[in-house]
Amino acid sequence: MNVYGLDMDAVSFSYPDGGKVLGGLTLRAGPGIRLGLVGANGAGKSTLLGLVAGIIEPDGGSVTIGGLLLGKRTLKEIRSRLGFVFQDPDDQLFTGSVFDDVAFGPRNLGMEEGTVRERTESALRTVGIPELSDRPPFRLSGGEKRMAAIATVLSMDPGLLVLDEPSAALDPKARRRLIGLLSSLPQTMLIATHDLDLALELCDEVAVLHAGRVAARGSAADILGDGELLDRCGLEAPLSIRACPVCGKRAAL
Amino acid sequence: MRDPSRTLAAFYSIDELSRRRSPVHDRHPVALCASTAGFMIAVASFGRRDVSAILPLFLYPVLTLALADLRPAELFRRLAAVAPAILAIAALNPVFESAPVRVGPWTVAGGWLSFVSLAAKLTLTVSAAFLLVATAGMNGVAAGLRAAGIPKLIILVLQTTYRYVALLLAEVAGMSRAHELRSGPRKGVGRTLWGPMLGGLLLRSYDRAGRVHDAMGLRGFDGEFRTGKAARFGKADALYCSSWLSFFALVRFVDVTGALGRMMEGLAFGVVR
Repeated sequence: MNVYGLDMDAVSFSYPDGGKVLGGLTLRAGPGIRLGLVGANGAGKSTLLGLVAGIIEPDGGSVTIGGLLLGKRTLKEIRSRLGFVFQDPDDQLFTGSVFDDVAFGPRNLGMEEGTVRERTESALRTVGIPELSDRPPFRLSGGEKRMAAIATVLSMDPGLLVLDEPSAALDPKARRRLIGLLSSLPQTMLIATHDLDLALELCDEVAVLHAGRVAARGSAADILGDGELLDRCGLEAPLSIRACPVCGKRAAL
Repeated sequence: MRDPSRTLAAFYSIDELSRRRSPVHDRHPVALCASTAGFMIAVASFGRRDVSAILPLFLYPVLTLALADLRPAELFRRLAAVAPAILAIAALNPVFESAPVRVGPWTVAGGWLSFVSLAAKLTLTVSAAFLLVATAGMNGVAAGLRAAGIPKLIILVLQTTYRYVALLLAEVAGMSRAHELRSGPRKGVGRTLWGPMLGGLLLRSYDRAGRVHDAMGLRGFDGEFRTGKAARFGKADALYCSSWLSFFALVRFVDVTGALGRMMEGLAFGVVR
């Protein structure tokens, strides 16, 4: 598998009503890096992810994945390099069975049915739900749906994973399984999340989005331990590093 | 009004039925589509007062149900859902066709014959359509249509519409639950809310459909649904299809019911003599 880095250079984007979301944003993630993207509501996280996947086009600047510049001509190749996991897994699971959903991408890549089956079964094993292969997606629990949604992109063997709020609406055990899974994958990851504890535990680096720009970027511990920065950007320190409400002690980072 | 989430579950259950294994499910989708098309043509070709001649065609849904290992209740539930529409379409016949006709020893208004004939035809065609989707699946139906030379664009519209219906039902289920939980003892949706709710439903489902389309595009969707099913049309498929088509032709061109009736009469006469 090729692991691809991401390079966004001076990217700007405004919605048709004139609302500027991103203004000259520059962001880089080297191959194999897990980069957390945090920011208050409306900071532009989802827009940024949409730009990376070519769902929306930037007004200016460039997006490069694995050295390939994103554009109309390269869109197909770019999309074969990245796996995009939507915030709502129901948006991603639209066929009649988990197997068909996971096989959807490989089949569209024109693979032989034997290879499709191999990849699908492997992706389902990786996320730990091989027994759900024949189940219809609408009968799955939230945690199972999330794993199935991740399997739908893993079956395409992407070098870059883009995840929008991967821990949203998961119970603690399912969230723990998700963190275990993501930390075991070799791909470069761009993870937009409000779950700062997940970012702290999972990400090598964290970028804080504020007012359409990267307000700060650094190691997860440095960024998420900077209370003043987080407060300025409309965020709060992760629960795991706040002082204990009973004894007042802080966990060591 | 029926709970929309139950309607949604019933909708998805057809997909589940189509993933079973049985002598019918294992047939090539083209064989299933061709048999169904032949059946529908045979049903539609009977005259508007033909009743007894149509009866042998009931063998098709009955045998398909049995061979496909589907519970009759699955079919009856769907038929019950469309029964009011079937009856509404056929109900005016007795009013407009009052000329008397003889049916055995009885004299009835001709409209009653065409009522029964039309209701039987609608029941048969609805049953056949359900059985096709429940055995071939929507992807199989698309494959059959493709083989029949229907343009790719029309098939794409059919498949995306099918998926959109599921999506629309999911949105209806969510909105209706939200409304129900805040509407107190009042039943149903008040007239003043019809407009906003319908508008909201369309916008929400449009938005959701956009996200689903993005998810499909990101995984290489180029306008063709690839099912991965084996595309080989085998001997068993040819036999299945030709057997049914021959049966439909027999029923259409030979008065099977009449012949059976005469045969029974002859037997009875022989016994009495």
